[in-house]
Amino acid sequence: MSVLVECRNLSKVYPGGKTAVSDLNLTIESGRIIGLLGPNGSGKTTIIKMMNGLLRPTSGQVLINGNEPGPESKKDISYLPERTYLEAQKTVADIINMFSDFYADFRPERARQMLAALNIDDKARLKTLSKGTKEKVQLILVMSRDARLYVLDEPIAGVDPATRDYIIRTIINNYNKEASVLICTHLISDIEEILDDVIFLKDGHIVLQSTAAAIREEHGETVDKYFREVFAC
Amino acid sequence: MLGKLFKHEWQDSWLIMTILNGSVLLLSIIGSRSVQRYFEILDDMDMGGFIYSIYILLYVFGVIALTLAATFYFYVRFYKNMYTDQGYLMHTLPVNHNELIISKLLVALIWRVISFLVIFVGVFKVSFEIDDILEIIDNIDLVVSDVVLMIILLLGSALYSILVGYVSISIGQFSSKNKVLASIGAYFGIKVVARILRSFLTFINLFTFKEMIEKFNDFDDPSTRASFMLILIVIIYIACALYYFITQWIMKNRLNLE
Repeated sequence: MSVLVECRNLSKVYPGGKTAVSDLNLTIESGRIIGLLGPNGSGKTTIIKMMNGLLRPTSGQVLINGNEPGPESKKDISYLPERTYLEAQKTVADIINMFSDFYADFRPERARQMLAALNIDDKARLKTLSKGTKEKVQLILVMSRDARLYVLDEPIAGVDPATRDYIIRTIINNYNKEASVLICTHLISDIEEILDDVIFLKDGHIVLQSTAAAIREEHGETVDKYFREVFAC
Repeated sequence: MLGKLFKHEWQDSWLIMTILNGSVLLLSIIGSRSVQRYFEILDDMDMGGFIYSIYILLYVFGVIALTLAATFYFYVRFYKNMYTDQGYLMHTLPVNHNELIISKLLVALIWRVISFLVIFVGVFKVSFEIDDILEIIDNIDLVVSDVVLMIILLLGSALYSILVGYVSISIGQFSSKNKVLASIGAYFGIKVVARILRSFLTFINLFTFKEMIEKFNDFDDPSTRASFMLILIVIIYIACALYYFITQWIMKNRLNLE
């Protein structure tokens, strides 16, 4: 196993003074599925944005496979944001061409297979698809890369249970086994069974980093239940 | 990667820009001098003058609309691609910020040049016949340096008008409440500052380069024309460089997508 992500004394203070992440130290190794878990406002999305170069840290450093966020690190990360980021006017095929052009590790045939399995017409324009279908298309694009690190921000929020199952199956079946998957969510029970490691975040700090198995063993309860105990209001 | 970004930017914009330019071109063909003859025939029936006036009005509106629509279209594309949800894709492509800005700038610039040529050809077609145009060209006493400097100046003006939008949109991102409104505010703010600076420079010039200014009145002299254009070129390209670096700095250091 090698170190994929390293956060050193990472902090982010937004203009206006709100501290989202404070002096965070974190290491993520390859070959793991990690749950980045925490209530709303705990700093999950801020950390993910800093990993992806969408936000600059106020202080500290984040390294992806030894590189600071930039063109090199972006070759290693396949990122699924919680937003629909595709241009509505484009067809699914246009987006596949775009991904093929920019990501050397993108596998268009894998994407087309998954689209066919879900009866999604690749000639359809994004604007004609439902919200759930658009989310499936985005997930297919992200999981059709042979990336080193998959970063999935709330991949199952706001979708129906059948889609949720499909998303979880897609994650398990398609990720490169040498890679790691970082899943950021507050819907723990749905993904708990696929998690190797768990990171609990609160107010921009890590309050727990452990394996999912260790939590179950030490506390005699599921990660979801333990999470509810730790973050009880 | 710049080539790939350019290719996708071009693919996304060519259709709408072709329709816009094609419409103006069509208007100029309809109103060319040879077609005007038919109006002159109609004029005998007291109708030609009226119809032709309406046509000219339409043509002028068409040209203004094309210029505004093309400028606005590329501003909106820049804003949407860079600072809305689409930014989550654009800023996670394995490219750097310069490549992102330059690819957009190049495509917008090429369309500016095409639009300029369409309008230029259109105005001539509407106003003159081929023989008139040849005569005008024959009568202009231009030297090669005039043409070269004029092209550099026109390209600089086109770049300026694109970059002033990009920098305003980028400055608008500092607002936490209404980024669009803040961008519009920044746009007019920059315009006001630029106007004040221009007045200031003119004021300084009046005293320090009095002789040169007097010489500028002698536009028959090619070296005077060249000096005048060179000063404008330097000012425009300095402003372009400033706007570019501010845009790039904000994108690199202050990006904060919702």
